[in-house]
Amino acid sequence: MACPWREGARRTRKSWSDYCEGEVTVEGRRTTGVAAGPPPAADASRGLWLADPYSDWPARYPGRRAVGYFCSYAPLEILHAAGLTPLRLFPVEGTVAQADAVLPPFSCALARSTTERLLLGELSFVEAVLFVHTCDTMQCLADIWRMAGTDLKVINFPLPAVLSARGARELVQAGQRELLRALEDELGRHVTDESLRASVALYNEQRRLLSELYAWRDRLPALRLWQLSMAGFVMPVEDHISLLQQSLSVAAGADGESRRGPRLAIVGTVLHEGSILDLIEELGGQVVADDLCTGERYLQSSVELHEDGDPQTALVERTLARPVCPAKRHADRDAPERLVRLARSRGAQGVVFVLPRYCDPCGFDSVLQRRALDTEGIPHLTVETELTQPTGQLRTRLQAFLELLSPG
Amino acid sequence: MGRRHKRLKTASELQRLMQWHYASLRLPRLGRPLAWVTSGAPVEILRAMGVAVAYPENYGAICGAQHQATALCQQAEAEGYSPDLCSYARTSLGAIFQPHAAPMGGLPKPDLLLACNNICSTVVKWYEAAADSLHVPLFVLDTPFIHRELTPQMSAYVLTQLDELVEFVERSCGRRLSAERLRRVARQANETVRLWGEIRAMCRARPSPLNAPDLFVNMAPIVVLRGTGGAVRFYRHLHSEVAERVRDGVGAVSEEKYRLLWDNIAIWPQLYRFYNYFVNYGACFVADTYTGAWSMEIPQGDIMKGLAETYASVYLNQSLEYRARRMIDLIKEYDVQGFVMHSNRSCKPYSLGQYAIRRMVTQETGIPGLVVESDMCDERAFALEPIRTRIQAFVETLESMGGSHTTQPVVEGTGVR
Repeated sequence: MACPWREGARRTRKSWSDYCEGEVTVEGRRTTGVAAGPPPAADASRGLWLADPYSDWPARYPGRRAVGYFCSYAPLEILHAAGLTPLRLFPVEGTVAQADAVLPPFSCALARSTTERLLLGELSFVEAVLFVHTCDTMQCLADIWRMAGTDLKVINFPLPAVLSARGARELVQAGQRELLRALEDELGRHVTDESLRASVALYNEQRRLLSELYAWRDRLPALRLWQLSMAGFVMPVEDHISLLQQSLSVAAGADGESRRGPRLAIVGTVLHEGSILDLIEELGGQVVADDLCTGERYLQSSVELHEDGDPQTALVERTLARPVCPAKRHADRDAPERLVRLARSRGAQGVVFVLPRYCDPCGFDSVLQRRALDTEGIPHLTVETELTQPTGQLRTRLQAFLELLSPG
Repeated sequence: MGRRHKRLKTASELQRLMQWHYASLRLPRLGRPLAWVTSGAPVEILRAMGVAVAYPENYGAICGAQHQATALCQQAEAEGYSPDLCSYARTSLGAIFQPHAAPMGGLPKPDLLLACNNICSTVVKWYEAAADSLHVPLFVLDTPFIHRELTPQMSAYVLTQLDELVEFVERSCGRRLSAERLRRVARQANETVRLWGEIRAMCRARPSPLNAPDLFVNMAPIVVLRGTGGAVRFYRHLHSEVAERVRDGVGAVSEEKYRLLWDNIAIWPQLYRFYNYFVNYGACFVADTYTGAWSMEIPQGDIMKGLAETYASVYLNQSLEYRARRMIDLIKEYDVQGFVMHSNRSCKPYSLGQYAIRRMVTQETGIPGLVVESDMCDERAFALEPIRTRIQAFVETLESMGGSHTTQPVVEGTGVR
């Protein structure tokens, strides 16, 4: 159980929720607002506040029953309506030892790091984990976790790989029904129409507030925005909504100091470590858009639920309409086109790909995306990540990239 | 060479058949469109619509066996594809980018692409990349992964898409589906499947008439010529030759000492060399999980429904528990004393769960399993010395277990990972 790295981290850092909630307000009042610069705590820039949102989760949220999930396609509204608190599982920096006996070395950091956590018994407070079908790795991981000999219940959600396929709608619908049945049979959780409506409203509000905050990218340090987004995945949605409201009022009071410097879009999947965003700003760039499943892919498009509408149908529609994950196909919305459109619409001058090593969907998509950017004359830089990021070299590469984009 | 590979008499017939197949793709097809398809795609529909088919995976295996794949992978890498991606995909894309550097000048340009994700999700991305380079339409058939069971909703979803596929082929190349032709193709596919199943089953004999490289080489027609008369004829001949070996007590490995089970795709560039390390110890791979993946018969009755269920339920589209149970069955049926798993860097769906499978299989059967990390095509991932050392250690474990698994206690972790 002993993990020296984590022990050390625990001693030196504040509780991340303290940090996140307290600091945004205090700093906002004290100085010229959140746009004043990157957060002062040095550990924040290394992501240490998110270093381990899991080990003291039950103590932080007593009485809450957590349900783990990985993918931004997970129907959080249904889990929430079942009285559960969705808790997203992210890679966490640190040694991976136990997981190496279960996964080959060519597995991604997300799979290896979360499996380590599982095998160390650190997820024992989680009632169940929902695996939405995405990539080959997650597909295997769902079975590996079920066979790992822990008490953790594994629930599978069969999301179509081709979202434009005929019959995809019906399959998602069936998946939702199956999920409701599993929650009932395996966890004894019943979801009523009313509770589902209430949860839909709550998550719509969360996504709306997040979108508002994202619209103020120019007032908010990118790292802060990342922290505020990430916090939402590991805290109850009610708390996250208050946090977002607070942050919005702070941002509204801040001077609308417009940023200068090359405008960048960030592309990838789970951005589990935000220091690259800080580095971009430190080196004089600004982040104006992203295509990340911890960013805009999560918050774009809301569940359109009308008064007499069926909440389940509305959830299905959002699943099919929201931005597409690299592991999914939509015949009419291909990845290169989507990216070029995103970059153009936000006036991004350059694109930074932050790709986890061994992520096949990203690996394939990024080639076609880079080619499309080349055709459009939009420069790009690719950073490959594992559990940790190579800092020194990354700084030099980013510096060179930003120089390339700077006029004169 | 006494103990080494024993050549089958049908080997030259196989070679001619495959050469004819690849040559025929280059002959004027008189208006017949050509499709590139994945190994798990319901090719019966295309054949019944008069579409000629080529298999980039088989082409990749051929390039691998001819030591041409690594150079093609490097071509794909030069275009931006990571060396961590599937080597079939890189080989195929490399051949698209540099056909003059590829064996047979690459595969002839297709008119359409058909990918079915029942074998992996990589084929979807790979075929998207191919469609982009070749400027041809792509159809992706989505078969939901079976973690527990194939539900009626899942089969209905696949069936709906099969109708969509037929319309797609009609639209993109003006071909119609003939029900009569579909029945004939399905009948021939089933006939091949039956023969191939029986050939594999004959390896229960002691000594086993075939070893893994025989199975790997002879599976080609069941993939690329599935549903054709040529494949049926070839497997009839192979069937009688294997039956003859069994009757005469001729083993693929002289003095068969250990009977082993293979898991995952072959290491194509090292096909004979790799298995010969085992042959040197008198070890024969009497069964494997890969070449049986095409042994599923299309049920009688509604053919489209049968195709939907058959293709949705292929080995690699089912849970790790299912695969472990299949391996346990094979171990019992073929009287196997050990199993070797190729941890294939190219194939995550096949390789990521192998440790979980190994644990379950060893717990239930008491027989040891060896995991060897390599790659099916990319020779840069093949580290000779460590592999030899591990094989040696594994065989020593087998020896210490006395060659019989029934009386052994449960052993997990045999010192070889």
